Amino acid sequence: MGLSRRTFIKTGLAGAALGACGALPPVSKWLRQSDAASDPQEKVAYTYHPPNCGGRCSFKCTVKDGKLVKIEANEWPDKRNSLVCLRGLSELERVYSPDRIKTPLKRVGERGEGKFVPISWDEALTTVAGKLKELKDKHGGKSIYLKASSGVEHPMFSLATMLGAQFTNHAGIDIGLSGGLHQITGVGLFGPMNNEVTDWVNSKTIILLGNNFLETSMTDAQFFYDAKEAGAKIISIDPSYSTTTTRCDQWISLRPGTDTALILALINQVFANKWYHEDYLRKNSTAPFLIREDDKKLFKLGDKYQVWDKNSGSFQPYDAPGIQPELEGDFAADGVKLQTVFAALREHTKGNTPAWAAKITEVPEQVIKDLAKQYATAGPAVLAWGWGGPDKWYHADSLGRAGGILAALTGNIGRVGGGVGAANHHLPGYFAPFKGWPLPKDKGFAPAKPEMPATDFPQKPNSVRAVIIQGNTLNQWLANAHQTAAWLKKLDLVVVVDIFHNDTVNYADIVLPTCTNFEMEYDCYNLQVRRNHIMMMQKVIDPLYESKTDFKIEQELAAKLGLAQYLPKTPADLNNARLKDPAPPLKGITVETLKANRYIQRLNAPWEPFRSNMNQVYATPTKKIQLYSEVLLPFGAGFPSYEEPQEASPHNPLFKKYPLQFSQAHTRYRAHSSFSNARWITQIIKEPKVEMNPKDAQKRGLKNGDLVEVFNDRGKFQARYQATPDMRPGSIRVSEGWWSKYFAAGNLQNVTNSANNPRGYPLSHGPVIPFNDTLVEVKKAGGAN
Amino acid sequence: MAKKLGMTIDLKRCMGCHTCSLGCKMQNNVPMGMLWNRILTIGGEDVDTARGEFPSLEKSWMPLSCLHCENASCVKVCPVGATYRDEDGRVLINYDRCIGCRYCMAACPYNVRVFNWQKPVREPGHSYGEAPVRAKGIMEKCTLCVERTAKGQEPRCVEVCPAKARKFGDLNDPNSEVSKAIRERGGQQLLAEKGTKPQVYYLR
Amino acid sequence: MENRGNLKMSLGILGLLTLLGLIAWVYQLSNGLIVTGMRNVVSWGLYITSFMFFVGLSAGGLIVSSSATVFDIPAFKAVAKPAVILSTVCIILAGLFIVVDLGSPERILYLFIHPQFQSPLIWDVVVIAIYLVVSLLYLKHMTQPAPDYRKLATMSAVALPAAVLVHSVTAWIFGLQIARVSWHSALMAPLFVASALDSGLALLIIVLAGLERYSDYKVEPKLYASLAGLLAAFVAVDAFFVFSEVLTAAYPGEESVTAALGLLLSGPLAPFFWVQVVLGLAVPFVILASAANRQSKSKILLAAALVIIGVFCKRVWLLFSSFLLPLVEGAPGITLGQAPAAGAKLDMWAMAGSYTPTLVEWAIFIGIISFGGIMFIIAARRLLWAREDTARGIRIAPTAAK
Ligand code: SF4
Ligand code: SF4
Ligand code: SF4
Repeated sequence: MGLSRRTFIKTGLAGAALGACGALPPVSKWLRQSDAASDPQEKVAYTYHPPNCGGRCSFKCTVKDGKLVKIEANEWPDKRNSLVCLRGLSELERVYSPDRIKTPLKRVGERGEGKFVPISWDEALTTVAGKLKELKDKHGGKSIYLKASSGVEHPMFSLATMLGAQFTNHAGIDIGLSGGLHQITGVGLFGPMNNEVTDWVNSKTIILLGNNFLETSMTDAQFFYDAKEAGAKIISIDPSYSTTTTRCDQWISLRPGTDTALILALINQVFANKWYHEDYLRKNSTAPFLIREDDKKLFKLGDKYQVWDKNSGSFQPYDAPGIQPELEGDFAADGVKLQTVFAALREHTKGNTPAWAAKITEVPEQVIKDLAKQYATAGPAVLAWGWGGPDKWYHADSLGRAGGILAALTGNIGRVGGGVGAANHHLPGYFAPFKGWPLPKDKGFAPAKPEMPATDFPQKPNSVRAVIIQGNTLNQWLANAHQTAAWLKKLDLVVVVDIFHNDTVNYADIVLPTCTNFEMEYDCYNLQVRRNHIMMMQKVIDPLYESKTDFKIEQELAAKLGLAQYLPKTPADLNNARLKDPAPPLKGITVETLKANRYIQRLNAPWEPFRSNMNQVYATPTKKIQLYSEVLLPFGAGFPSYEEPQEASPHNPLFKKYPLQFSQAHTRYRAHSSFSNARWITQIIKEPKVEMNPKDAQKRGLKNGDLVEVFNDRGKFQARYQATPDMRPGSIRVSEGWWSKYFAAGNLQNVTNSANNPRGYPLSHGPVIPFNDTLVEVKKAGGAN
Repeated sequence: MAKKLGMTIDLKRCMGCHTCSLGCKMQNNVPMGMLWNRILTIGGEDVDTARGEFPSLEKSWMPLSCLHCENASCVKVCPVGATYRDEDGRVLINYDRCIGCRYCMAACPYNVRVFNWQKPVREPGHSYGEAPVRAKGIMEKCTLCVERTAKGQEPRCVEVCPAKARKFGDLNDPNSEVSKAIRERGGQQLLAEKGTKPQVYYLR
Repeated sequence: MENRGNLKMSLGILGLLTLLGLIAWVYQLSNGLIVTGMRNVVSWGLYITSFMFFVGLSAGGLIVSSSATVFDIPAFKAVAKPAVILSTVCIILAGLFIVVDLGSPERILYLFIHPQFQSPLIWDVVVIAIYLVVSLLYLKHMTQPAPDYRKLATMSAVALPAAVLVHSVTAWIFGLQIARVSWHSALMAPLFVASALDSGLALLIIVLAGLERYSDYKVEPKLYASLAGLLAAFVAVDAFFVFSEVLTAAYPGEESVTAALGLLLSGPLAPFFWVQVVLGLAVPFVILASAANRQSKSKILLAAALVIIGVFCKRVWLLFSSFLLPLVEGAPGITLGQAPAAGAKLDMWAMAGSYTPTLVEWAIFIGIISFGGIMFIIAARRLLWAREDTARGIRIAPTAAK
């Protein structure tokens, strides 16, 4: 039985007595293992968490016998950030997931079938490099397209540049509202809020617009509660009863996709009650600019926009010193009537009364009026939207613009306790750009100019013949999966670099196994700036199986193409280059100082909450808040208006056939498609659920837990119905990011809308994918239609 | 005076994120198929669903783990004294003593004890965290992170809660954060009528 | 001769079943209790049900035999020996059911090394140990060629309260638990004693009939009638307690108690409850209440069998009515404590309890009972028929001693 003396004594008589029957479990199992913490074989390493929840939490990892045994929050200089969420903790299992791709793979079945055989790294890289070279020679670099998922720490930008390939890191997602807001305030990619969430304690009103903040920005929850305890009224505007809604002071449920009408009604009320901040508008916005009656353009003399100066009684350049621009009045020049932007806006929104909006949004008129009053008159107010809801609609830009205008009229931009934009993703904060890797100037390396928004590749003729994908991009990022699949089947080469065998991998010709961000061949890896801090990744464990870092894969692929000599040798070289000659917030921070400070340092930035535009200078051509958009004039959209959703509207004839609006919401259980396979999390939520109001389900004869089919003309998928009274009748939801293998059949992207709004093209980051602007019908799976 | 360690959980702050649940799992080497600390949705039939009829809805979350009862029924019934209350008021299990009769499980009104019906299965394939390995046929449950709290650290669930909904401290110290919170917010014990006197209080 | 053949065959079959049970137990030992239907929600099952059941069955024998001496009922004295053998076997079986229920049976001696006297389980260990010792001593003295009747009387005086205590303590294992609404009742001990009386007596009647049928052992027909009369009274008492218990639970309409009651009256436990009430109490009572029926051995045996089945059902509903509905509700419920098979979706939650014994549990259950059969047959052979002459002597002896 192999009883050692010690165990014998420990188990004592009982063991001896029963040992005779020969059926004892192994005795060693009764013994206590020594604590992980007290073992001499263990070490500590610091890294951060890269998945695209946005958090980039800094981790203190404990490794024992070469295995990850503990993940804790690293201590941040700003201790409030020393946090980790369930997804971070679940890495302890996910790193060792059976879904890991262990070796390079070569496809043997059809694209999409998911049949592969293992091959060597050398064969894989030689094949890929050979094909890339051939395509580049025959069709030019633009025939190659590289795309990295948002959680990928090392997008192969240098390789793309050297290949002259098309490379987009972000397209079509989370840019719907920001594209509109950018017109107003010049806000950057994704349109972060002006004010950091830590400033919410100074707000009197916080409107969360389609923003399930407590799930999507879980690690900022404390600031939400701090604000609430400090007396802010927090209002959730959401069709459905979200996690965040439960913790808010007020919930306003509106018909999905009609948010713009609601905001326009608030603007209408601001005008009607003269709640606007006249002086602020005069000084900081284009409100006094003049719109020509003939071509609707802004009135210019020479190349300068003009305003009417009250002091001199004349037109003056808008930026002339000492002027007092008029907000209203009848003006004309060269016989063309001119109207101030301010007056035109008031006129434009005249019809957008609460009564009008009540009909569209199905929010009671009085509620709209009260909301307007609260927002405009109670003091500093935040309008914070999310990306999982109103952003993913065909006309999202109008909402972004309307929101910006509302905030501007009430002086809530560049104000303590104010702000408008996306509050999620821990994005608002002090920021410091890194330098890129310096490729030699004389080689003529340059990426190809993107031919079109990448979301159009499956939809319009283009030169792309090969794609190199880092991550589960093709399933997660593109709507209308059958369209995507048809495109992929036409390509000459599909290479997928990923950690896990997810949906995108199934389409690859060659699969290259990369590792998680706990594993690396180097002592340190990437840098990130988030939440006013800079972090670096330290090696935690060796790469598992045959996986390699993206950095190494880029390097080895470049070597096969004879280009490796231009790339950094190690990530530390890259990091040193990035921090050389740094922007002021990064001054004094080096790879070495980071190593000496648990791989995290605070930026050289003030300790008070970050607030952008406090100086009332905007990144717009006029450096002012631009209430009126000339860019969108060709679309008849100088000001935003409410339009019915492109697809998910009862006025759409399709509505008769497919009467349910379908959305894919973010949840705390995943960050997009990451953690779909995290078994610590699937303990709690094991499969996708079709969340539907029981009233809608009853009409379709469904019982809680029934297997149902969700379908429209684009496709279908199957999952279980979950009785969810939280859902607004008429809307259904499946949380995003589930891999196909968790559905009973298909994938939710089979039904989603991929139409691009033409108005999106001239916007800062192109058209948004209208995932939620989708109509479907639901029936019991297997049953008759 | 002897300590009486306890906790408060603010149900107004808890947002049902399960972070404390997984933090506990990691800290305590909890195997697959069981949790020491689980988050209950107080609402509809499924996790994160509300009760009521749209839009008159109600939903909140209640984390539940061993409540470290002062008058613990599990301690009383254990025939071999494997379950005991330590001098700081933690209710603990001596894994080397437990005979696996599961009487304590029947005696606990809160269903917070979990049993190793099988050889513990750990995903990943190795042990993690700081708590000792438990064998098949042994009872286990929340220890108030004895490995941490004995060193003066907070339990893992308290540390990781992103909503800062949990507080930990000495109930015998009237100035401790927990004592104050219980006083000011009217802390409630779960199933108080059972007389088990939990040392974990809910703030509603 | 025919008897001998039968005996060998029964012993063979029982031996085989015991072996099967033993193999099942070894299997359970190496895989853990996961091979049973028990999980974190319903954490006790067939084994504990059987434990309660056999503690109860063991009562009948000892109560009959010792009251024969204590209250001097000569008719009962006639069957004192088989009754005590039966009691002893049953209490051993009850103990075995505890052993197989333990998660770590290799530590069973901890019960004696580290007893914690606050625990009703330790009280039970103590009284069962006393009970077993008393039964064995009793048996030893009874089977002496020349029994010392004074000693026997003293022992009876100990055995009777011990028997009552064993059932009460077993009841208190459950009845003292405030966590479990359908157990937490002061009536639990009387309820257990009542069940012990009727089921134990019923088993004794059946065993006596069996002895008569398969051996040379003879029972006076009159004895059946008087035992049957007693059984009728016990059944009535049992019914009275059940009624009183259910009424007390139902009347206040307290939420969790009402829910537990719902399980009995119309829920998943209703079959067990109603089988007990109708087949286990009402029908046997009606049969036995008639003096004419009490003259019919087959009717008595039918009634006795029904009583035993009824009491088994009662053990089932008693145990599970408290396990099925957790007091703290909320999705996703309680973790079952069962890791998923590789590749399977994780399903580890239950909002309410459910339990079905597995084959392993049935095999162990049958094995233990078969082992009991073997013990009884061997004991009976050695102590009853093998020395028929002396046995007859004993039967006469008490009268002589008067
Ligand atoms: S998923 Fe996001 S919030 Fe959670 S630990 Fe990782 S970075 Fe932090
Ligand atoms: S909650 Fe249950 S297990 Fe914990 S001390 Fe109380 S009775 Fe015991
Ligand atoms: S971590 Fe905090 S907020 Fe999340 S479930 Fe636990 S107690 Fe609630």
